[in-house]
Amino acid sequence: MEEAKLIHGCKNNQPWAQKALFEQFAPSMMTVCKRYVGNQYDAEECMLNGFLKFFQKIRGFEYRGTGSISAYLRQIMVNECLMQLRSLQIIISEPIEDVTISNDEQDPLDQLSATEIMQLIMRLPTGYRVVFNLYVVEGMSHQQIAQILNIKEGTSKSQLSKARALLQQMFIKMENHGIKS
Amino acid sequence: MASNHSNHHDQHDQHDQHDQHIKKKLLALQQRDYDIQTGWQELATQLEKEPLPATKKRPGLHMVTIWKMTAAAIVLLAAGFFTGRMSAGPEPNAPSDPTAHAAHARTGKDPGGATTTFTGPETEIKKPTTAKKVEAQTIDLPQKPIQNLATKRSASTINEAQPGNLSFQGNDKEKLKSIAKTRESSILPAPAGTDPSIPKGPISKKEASQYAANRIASSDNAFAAADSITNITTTMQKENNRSTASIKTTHQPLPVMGLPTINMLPTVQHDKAEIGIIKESIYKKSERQSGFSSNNPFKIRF
Repeated sequence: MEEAKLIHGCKNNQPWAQKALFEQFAPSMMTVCKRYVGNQYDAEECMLNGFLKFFQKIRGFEYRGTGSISAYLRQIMVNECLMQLRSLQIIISEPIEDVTISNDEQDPLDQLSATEIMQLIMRLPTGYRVVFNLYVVEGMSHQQIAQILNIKEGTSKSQLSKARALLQQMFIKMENHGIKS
Repeated sequence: MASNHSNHHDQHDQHDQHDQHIKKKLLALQQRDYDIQTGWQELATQLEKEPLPATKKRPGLHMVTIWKMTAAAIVLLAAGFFTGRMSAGPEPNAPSDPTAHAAHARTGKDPGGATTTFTGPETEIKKPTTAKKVEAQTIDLPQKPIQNLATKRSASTINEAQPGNLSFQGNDKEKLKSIAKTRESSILPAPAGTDPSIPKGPISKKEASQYAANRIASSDNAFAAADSITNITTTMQKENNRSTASIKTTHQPLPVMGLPTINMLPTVQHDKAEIGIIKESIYKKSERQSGFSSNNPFKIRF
């Protein structure tokens, strides 16, 4: 069904439109929430809260073509996940062992599938995971991340580099244990 | 140094390329094993608990309701105001002083020269209204025997002099008549040498003229009439100048003379200085009354 009709139906508080929109975007939004929160249960809670807010604020949403709903929903989901992480106070930089970042031109993550990358990201510490998601996936700058997470810009940079190094170490371990698909 | 800077820049570019690759993979990822029906049931439950803005009452509608109610209240107030004005009668400037109202109602005349009769609400002052009605009854029947007139006058006098004992309402004519009958039986006949046609107590101008006409019919003494008209004027002036309804009326016999005789009387020649004093006293009195005539309920601005 066309997204414009779905949005029009949701603005008129039509249950069929809300259900159709949920069925269309729930799997991808569930992935977004899991990528930030790190577990299935909290991710589902964040996703449902995000959809609820989307339906409540849909009168202020302006449909601008294909992809606009997904982008708007993803922004809501990210904010909802960050709010939950702040409430749990788990966005703390956790000390990790020193890692060496390989300067190879070939990133080992490029060799992994999306599901494998997702599993590795979910195993990252919360602070690294959030900064990595915000910088790599959402495309934010370190200044923006520092403002959102209320941290210093240098902290954001260091956490991002440490997240990359940790992912490389995890990838190497996966290769060594033959976990790689 | 330059090579280090270029290496760092190349490393940054490589990270950007890797990030774009990872981003595409992650954004395309969907959790296909997610139970959509269960999730939708939970979401539908939350949607039912928290009403959406579309189902909420719009704040604009609330404001419109307030404005409608305000406009309706204003219209009702205006309608009530105009209805009150229309029902109040043609006299917009009702006297604020109840004593002036009482004096005006008692005499039935306008001492200041105004010919408008007071038609304001009679329930404001009950006692003067009763006196007015008695007087109106007396005036409407000038050809009645003098004894009845005197009796009714005495009844009104009693009503005025004893407000505590006789508390008549505005339309208690029957009570007034009964009291008048009892008084009639108790009134002694006029003593010898006195004129029974002379009423006791204060009289109005119309009554005075009627009495004077009766008197002229039986007497030709012009000088006595001159004295009488002087006394009438004095009595009327006292009557008009009274400020409270509880002042007892005088029971001195009033001389009676007719209007033609009054017109034939020589006019008093006042000197210019005396006229100036009279005018000055009038203006002084007006100043004390704050721009209003003494007993006139109508505003007269000088």
